Amino acid sequence: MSERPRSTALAHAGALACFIAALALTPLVGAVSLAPGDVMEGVEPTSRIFWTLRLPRVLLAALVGGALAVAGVVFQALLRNDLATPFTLGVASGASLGAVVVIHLGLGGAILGISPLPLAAFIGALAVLALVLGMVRARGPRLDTATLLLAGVTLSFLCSAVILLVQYLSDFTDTNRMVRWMMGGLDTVGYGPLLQAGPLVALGALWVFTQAAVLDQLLTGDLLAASRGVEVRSARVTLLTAASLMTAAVLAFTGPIGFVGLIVPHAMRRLVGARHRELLPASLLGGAALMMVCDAVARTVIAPAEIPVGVLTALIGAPFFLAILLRKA
Amino acid sequence: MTTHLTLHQLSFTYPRQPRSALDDVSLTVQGGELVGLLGPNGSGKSTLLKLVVGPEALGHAASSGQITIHGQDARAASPRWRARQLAYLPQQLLGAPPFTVEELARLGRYPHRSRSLWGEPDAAGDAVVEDAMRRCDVWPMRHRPCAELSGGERQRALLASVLAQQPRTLLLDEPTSALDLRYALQIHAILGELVADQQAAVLMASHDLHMAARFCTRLVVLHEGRLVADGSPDDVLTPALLQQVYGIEADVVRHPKWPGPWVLPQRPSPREEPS
Repeated sequence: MSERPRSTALAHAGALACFIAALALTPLVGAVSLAPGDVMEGVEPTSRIFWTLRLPRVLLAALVGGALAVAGVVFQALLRNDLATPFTLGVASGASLGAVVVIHLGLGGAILGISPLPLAAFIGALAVLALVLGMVRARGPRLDTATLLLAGVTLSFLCSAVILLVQYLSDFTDTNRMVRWMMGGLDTVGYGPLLQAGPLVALGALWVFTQAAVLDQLLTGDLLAASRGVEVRSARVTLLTAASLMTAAVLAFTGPIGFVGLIVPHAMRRLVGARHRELLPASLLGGAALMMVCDAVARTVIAPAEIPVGVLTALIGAPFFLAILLRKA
Repeated sequence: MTTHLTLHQLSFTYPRQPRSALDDVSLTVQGGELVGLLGPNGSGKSTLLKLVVGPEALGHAASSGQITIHGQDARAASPRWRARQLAYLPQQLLGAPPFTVEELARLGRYPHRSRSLWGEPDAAGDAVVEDAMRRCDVWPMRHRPCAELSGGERQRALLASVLAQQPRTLLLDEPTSALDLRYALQIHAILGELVADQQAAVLMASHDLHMAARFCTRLVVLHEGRLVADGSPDDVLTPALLQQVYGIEADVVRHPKWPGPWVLPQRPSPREEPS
């Protein structure tokens, strides 16, 4: 092991470079490649494809990747568990249940400008969070980590069971839509989802970033954190809520996209260490970059068809993660 | 001498437990005192320390009685203010924290950091953290991850983070139980220095009667949640007390090279028949 302090500046610069490169290049890639010159000069249909299809999609990918990675960092710190992800407490299952019910009932239209599918998914996610927190609170004033995990996992299973039931009762077309939704995808047209999920993600991320020092303290255990003046209980509730809100906001539009919230925090921890004022910005950039690249690959390899991006995050993420894991060992 | 810590008629019962963990305990600790908190397993030592740490440490369960920290009612004091007065070393951490030794030590500065968005390290912090690491003899390994350290090294790194907090009162829960003799002596020397030079107060739970008798200026004994003895090591460590509290037959002798009583535990005393 090195006896020198690690240089985090280089890693941050690398993450930023990856982010900028992904942001600049991935909008040009897809079923049709776009030439940067045509975009600049407004040549049709290149310009329209770029501004109404590619750019919003790439930006949504960045938002989703960044949000899930930051939420993953928070969940791993709060649950003090390396295997924790933004979905560990059942938020994704709740969202899926909401989505599946809307598909089954065939609801259409829009409420406050938001279509019922993401709205139901968002409400489902938050309902699960509220239930988990309520159950833990009922067991005692202390927000116990083990109870939190068990309650979340149990609710996850419960939601999955109901989802299966609804699927069983649905016709073939609906079932197919449900399965596709739960695979996670970024197919979007226009900036609606960005404008609706963006503010929630920004708000959650802002809160999490201000709590970087608190997250550091919580990693050493509740007792030691409390002795340093951290108000442990309220910190846990607000951080959990902020991370879940970010997760639910992006989940509502994309369905559950796994793996990003697990591997990006781990990969970044290897590169910049565990201190959250280093780890959070690196994860935000790294998650966004990874998601943009995964989505670019997803819409290119079997063009004009697409691979569900959730499949790809695992396919690309797993070897990448293993490489980092083995390099240090 | 100034009074650092006063407990007045402190009682506490864990939720859903029939027996109280602490029962009407009153205790005063002055600056310049190194107080050993003795008692068998389950006698309430850790509970007492956690009560002083604050309501968060015991999951906000209700207690009765009063705690005064440096003249302030503990219930009215802010967590940040408390953390600047007193620091706490838990019995053991849940696994190794994912930090290097230096990062861990720096965490002790939390109550002193500026409250800006990013919690910039305080101006005096670097020097204080370095001094704490040097005193605990972990300076050469400051860039190593805690996960790679031995139990004793980790405990010293943790103590460094506690010293970096610059507390006036230290609450230590068995600080030397994981350490070999050399480092146990070293830690006691560090604590002795803090107490003598900086007029700090230390309240230290311990199972090591020998070390406690040797280094503590005063011993306090808990038995089933009640305070049963409070005085100098010579007054407290008597065969009768060891019989009553620990249920052992022991001789207490003196040695010319050992400033304090020396306990020679012989055998567990025969159980009394329940009447």
